[in-house]
Amino acid sequence: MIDIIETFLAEKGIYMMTFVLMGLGILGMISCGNYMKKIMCMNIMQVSIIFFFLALGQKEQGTLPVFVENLLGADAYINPLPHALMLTAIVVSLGTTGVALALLMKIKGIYGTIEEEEITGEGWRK
Amino acid sequence: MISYMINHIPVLIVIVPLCGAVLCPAISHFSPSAGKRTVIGALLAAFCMSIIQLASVIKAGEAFHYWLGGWQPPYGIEFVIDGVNGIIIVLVSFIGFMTALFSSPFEEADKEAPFRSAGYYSILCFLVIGLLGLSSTGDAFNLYVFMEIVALSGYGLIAIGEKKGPIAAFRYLLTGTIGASAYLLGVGLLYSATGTLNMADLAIRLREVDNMPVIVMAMACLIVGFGIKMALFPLHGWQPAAHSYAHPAADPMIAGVMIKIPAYAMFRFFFCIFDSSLPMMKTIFTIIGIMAVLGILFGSLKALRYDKFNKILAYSSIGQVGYIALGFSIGNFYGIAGAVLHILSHAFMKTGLFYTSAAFKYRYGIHYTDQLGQVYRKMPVTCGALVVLSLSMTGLPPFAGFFSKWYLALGAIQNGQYLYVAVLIISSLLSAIYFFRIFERLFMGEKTVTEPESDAHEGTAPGLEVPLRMLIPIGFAALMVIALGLGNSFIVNGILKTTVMGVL
Repeated sequence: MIDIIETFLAEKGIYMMTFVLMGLGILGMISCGNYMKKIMCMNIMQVSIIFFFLALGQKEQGTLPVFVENLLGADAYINPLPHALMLTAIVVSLGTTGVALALLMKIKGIYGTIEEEEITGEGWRK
Repeated sequence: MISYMINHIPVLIVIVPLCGAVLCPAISHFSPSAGKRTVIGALLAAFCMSIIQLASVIKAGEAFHYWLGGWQPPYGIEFVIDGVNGIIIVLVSFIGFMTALFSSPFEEADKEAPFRSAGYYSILCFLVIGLLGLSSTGDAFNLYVFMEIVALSGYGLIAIGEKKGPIAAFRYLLTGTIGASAYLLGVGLLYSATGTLNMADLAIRLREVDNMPVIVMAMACLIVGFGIKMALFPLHGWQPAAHSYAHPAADPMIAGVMIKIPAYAMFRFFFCIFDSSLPMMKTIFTIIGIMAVLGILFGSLKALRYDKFNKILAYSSIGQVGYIALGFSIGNFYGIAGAVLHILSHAFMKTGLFYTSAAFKYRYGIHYTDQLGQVYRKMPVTCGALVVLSLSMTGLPPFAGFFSKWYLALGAIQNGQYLYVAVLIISSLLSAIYFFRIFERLFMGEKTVTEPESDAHEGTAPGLEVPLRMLIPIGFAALMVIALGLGNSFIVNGILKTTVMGVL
């Protein structure tokens, strides 16, 4: 029984969880009215993508991708490439969050609020 | 020495503006005008190198591969230059250079903040770098990084625009991040199926993958990702506000070029990487076609409703991006040639129209079309360019807009998709309505503007309507539309044919 659950989690479950997390992030970005909360949900969505890549690089019985003596062959190590890619993606998401916070400060300075309803109430579409 | 430099041109085109962008704030600390000249000079150098590169690609008749750091693909990152993206790189660097030139009167009007001006040039240069890298890279993950460089500098340029700019930028940031994440997810799925990120290697290894659900899922993610970035119809929500409230001088670059290059990246994925003979590709192309048709009709109808010049142009862009997607969904030689030609011609048309819009703003502070009455008496060259560019948008022959629609229609007829031809004609008529309404107000409306105070425009030489640095880009945009129209058969048969026939 436990074996079945473990195989399920390893093969499909982890991907399902990341997609649930991504869905939650996008749902939050749509439904929250506060811009700060929207940024947080954006970060949750980006983290879900990072989880997805890290799960790709995982391997049972694999060790760190640094050379260990007497341990040869690619089978013994986990795949380092997704980790390297995600380092870049984390930097990008940090940059995006920084720009978003700077924009929020400017919005707060102009409108005095960061609630979407209060800002768009006064004829935004005109 | 010279031949050594020529071998490294693909990467120098990206590196030289990058140095300019990074050095600009530091140099501006000592002398603001030198900082500006650094950026303009770097972009001019990139433009010259891109022409040399295009000439050598045409001469060689095959794609040029540049390995960064000498690492061989599939392990290293490579830049691939073929006929299609060679000409797109020329376009991006030319419009980038022109826009930097065009910006200087706007930035000089803002005397209190010299450092802000340095930041502006630096961000504008980063936008051009991102677009150049996006069109030349041959690596799927590298494309993501360049896409984010484009997006981040785009957010900055939109936010320093009008009063609503920061909110437009914030909304674009949220939507754009979803797009970039969707693209990254698509790349992750392709990586999990093939174990490679190099585009040429992906194309080979995907032929052997028989796990169809993964590929379909990846395609869906890529359509969402590129669709958001190029503002394809149901995913266009961020675009009208962002394009109408951006910094007036940077708007031509944002509206004209920033949404076209993801469309080119989409072409690369769907024709160069995926096997276009797969049975399910037909369904995918039909879906893109439906999105394109709805977008063309929606954009043209929505543009009729607005009086604000920039809003009309922004909604018309949604329709025009639809044409490009329509060309991809037609999927034969004429369809793709029409789409690539439309990327070029619409870039010049929309850039030129936003130049004229910014010139009206600079001279008289005009934002709405009903303020345009009789302006042509004061600004004959700008209004002449406006007429040429608008006629090209509606698709009148000898201008570029006609020929790209002509190739699209030829492709649709060859495939027997007569609905697409009907949509092309209907949307041309609709765009004629909204552009001719601008003409009516311009030539027959009552005079509403008064001459501004003279001290606000001391940069304008006597006898000129706007400073020469603004007049040159406006004139070049109009001339390029005519030149592209007259030279369309050289571009299609001489440059695009070998590359496009190679991937079909």
